[in-house]
Amino acid sequence: MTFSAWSESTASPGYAVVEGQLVVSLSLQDPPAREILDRLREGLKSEIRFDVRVYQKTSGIFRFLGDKLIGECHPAYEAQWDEFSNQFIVTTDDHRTYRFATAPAFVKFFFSLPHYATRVQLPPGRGCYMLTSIEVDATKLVPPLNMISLLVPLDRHTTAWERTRLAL
Amino acid sequence: MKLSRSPGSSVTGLVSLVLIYILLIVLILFFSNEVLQDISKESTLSNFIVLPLAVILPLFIVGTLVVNILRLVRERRTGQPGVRLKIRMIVFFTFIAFLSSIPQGILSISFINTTMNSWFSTPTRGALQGGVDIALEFINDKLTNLASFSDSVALTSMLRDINRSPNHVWTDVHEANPSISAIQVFMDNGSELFFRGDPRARMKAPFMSNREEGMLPKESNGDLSILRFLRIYRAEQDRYAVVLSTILPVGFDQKAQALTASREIFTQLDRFGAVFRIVLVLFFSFFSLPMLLLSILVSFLLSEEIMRPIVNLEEATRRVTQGDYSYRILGRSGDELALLVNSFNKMISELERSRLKIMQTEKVTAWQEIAQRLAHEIKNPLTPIKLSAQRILKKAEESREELDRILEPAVRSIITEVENLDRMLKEFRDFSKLPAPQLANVNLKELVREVLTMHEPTFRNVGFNLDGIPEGLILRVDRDQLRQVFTNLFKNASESIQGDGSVWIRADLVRKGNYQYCRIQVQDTGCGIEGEYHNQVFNPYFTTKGSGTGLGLPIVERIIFDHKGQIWFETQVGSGTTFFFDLPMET
Repeated sequence: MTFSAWSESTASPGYAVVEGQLVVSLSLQDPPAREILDRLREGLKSEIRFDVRVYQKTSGIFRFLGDKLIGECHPAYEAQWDEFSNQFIVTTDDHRTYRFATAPAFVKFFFSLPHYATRVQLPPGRGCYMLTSIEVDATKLVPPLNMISLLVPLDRHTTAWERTRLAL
Repeated sequence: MKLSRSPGSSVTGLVSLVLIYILLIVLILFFSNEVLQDISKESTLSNFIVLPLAVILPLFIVGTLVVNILRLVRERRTGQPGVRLKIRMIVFFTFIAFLSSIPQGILSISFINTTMNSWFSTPTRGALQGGVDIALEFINDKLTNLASFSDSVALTSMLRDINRSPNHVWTDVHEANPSISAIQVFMDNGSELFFRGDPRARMKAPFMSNREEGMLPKESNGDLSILRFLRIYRAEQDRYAVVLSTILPVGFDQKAQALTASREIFTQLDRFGAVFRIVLVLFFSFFSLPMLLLSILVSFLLSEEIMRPIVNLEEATRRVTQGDYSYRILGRSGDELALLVNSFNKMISELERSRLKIMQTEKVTAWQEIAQRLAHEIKNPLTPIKLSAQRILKKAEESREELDRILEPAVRSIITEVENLDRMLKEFRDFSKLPAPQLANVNLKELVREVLTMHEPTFRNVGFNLDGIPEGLILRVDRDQLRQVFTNLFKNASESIQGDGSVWIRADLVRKGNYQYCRIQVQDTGCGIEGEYHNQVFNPYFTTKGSGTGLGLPIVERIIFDHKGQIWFETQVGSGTTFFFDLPMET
């Protein structure tokens, strides 16, 4: 397993290919930790979503159709502060729960996605690349307030899409 | 027989609108039940289908409405029958739609505001925060109590009998602190020495006794939550891990979570309440507007549906006015308009029968009159012919010299009368066999000039003024027949003028109902027509002139009628006569 060097970009993507399957690592540089901690202590929930899209370049006469999307995944964490146990609780989208007694431990975990198996099988040959982006909702709106997010992205931070060439 | 059927397009349209209406309601229900729940997640059905549909559907309705409005504007410009009434009905329906929607909208928005204010009011918020505070205070009390008791000297003295009498230890502990639910003691190797108390608080062995003294993480199992404190107790050579447990009330964690979740909604409302209200109003408008537009669209189709029989009736009436009695309307069965249509069709049938009867009678009468007049007109020259022939015969018997003297004037008289007869019969033939008009574009002013040039010697005593005819006015008429009309009218005018006089010709565009006509006037300064002759002016063989045949104006009238026009006159004895005739601009 080899990981590429962490770049200085916001999304800091790294990747490995294990038995043809893409494993990605993402981490948000300079995360809005203070803002998130404030929101959690107010009794609100926060959410982070890591967007990964894997493409294969199209060549020949069909180039005008754009590159082929091989696969995509959007793992997400939801965070909250449990004032009854004085712990930060992070729930992943596969319903696993992680508890953190200290803010630094929580921040380190929450803003990174280490070694995530995307279940995207990379095709043989060259010309594959991935686009990554991280979206942080400092306040995860509850229904029906989440209607707001349809019109205005309140309290949301989104990094630009970062392109990383995948060397097999 | 020609039939006008109401096409089913508006019915199809109404069915389509009903389907769109149902789709819109389903969309609203789906949106309110499903979309709001998973709106924050991507790759859901709502994001891919429902939301685009929620945008496309209103756009589709707006597009259809715009097309209908444009069509209505075009119909109004081209003066389609019934368009004014249709517009009035649409405006009326739209007004009703607004009338019902606006109070509903205001009520809904006001209801949303009132409900939000009452549900999420400050007392509720305070009560909720109070609940959280009480829960926090309760659990802190339990923790403090557990920690202080576990750390106390009293517990140390109670644990002296740890090896000899566990029951004694438990009795002492429970008596000293009833909030302790259980005591569990583990030996240094992790095995359990004893457990006393509520069995729900029992921990599974082996226990890792190398842990630090103090509060253990709160344990949750279903609706049960347990607080634990680890105390290391040393007696002589032995080391014991004593775990004191306090069971929280059943469902404490769930209730606390419910409280914090409710408080979260309040906190979010505090932060985003103003934006949320705006978004609610926007969403309300977003789904109400298509409903309103849909009702306006329905008003278009309903107006069309209501107007169609009326327009058909108008069309039928117009055709009947133009002489087409074969036109019938096919009405829908079962409503009052169908009764009206049936009555109208019946009336037209009756009218056609009566008209045919009248035409037959008129035809017979006309031919009788013409036969009488023709007989009279033929008889007139026969008398001088007969007299001349008898005179020649008589002189031939009496003397040859007398015969030579009267022969030439008598024969000349016979020839003149025969020529008159021939001319009269020729005009009669022209009148009775007038061909159908061959329509072509004709410049009116040029045609009038042409007529005047051809007959210049005849009209020498008359000044013709053509200033009233616009240059470039084009009529769709039969050129030869219209030339005949002007020739006859100019001839009549010049003959009615004694000495010098003038004739003015002018043309104007006039509108009669939905049709445009060119009204042409020929005004002379002649002697006018006596009142007693007014009804006979267009009768064949009626003339006040010695040399006339009496067919000039009947031919003019016939040509104008054949062009689907009308002719009439105004006259004043001593001042002159004006003939008016209207020719349709589009035939």
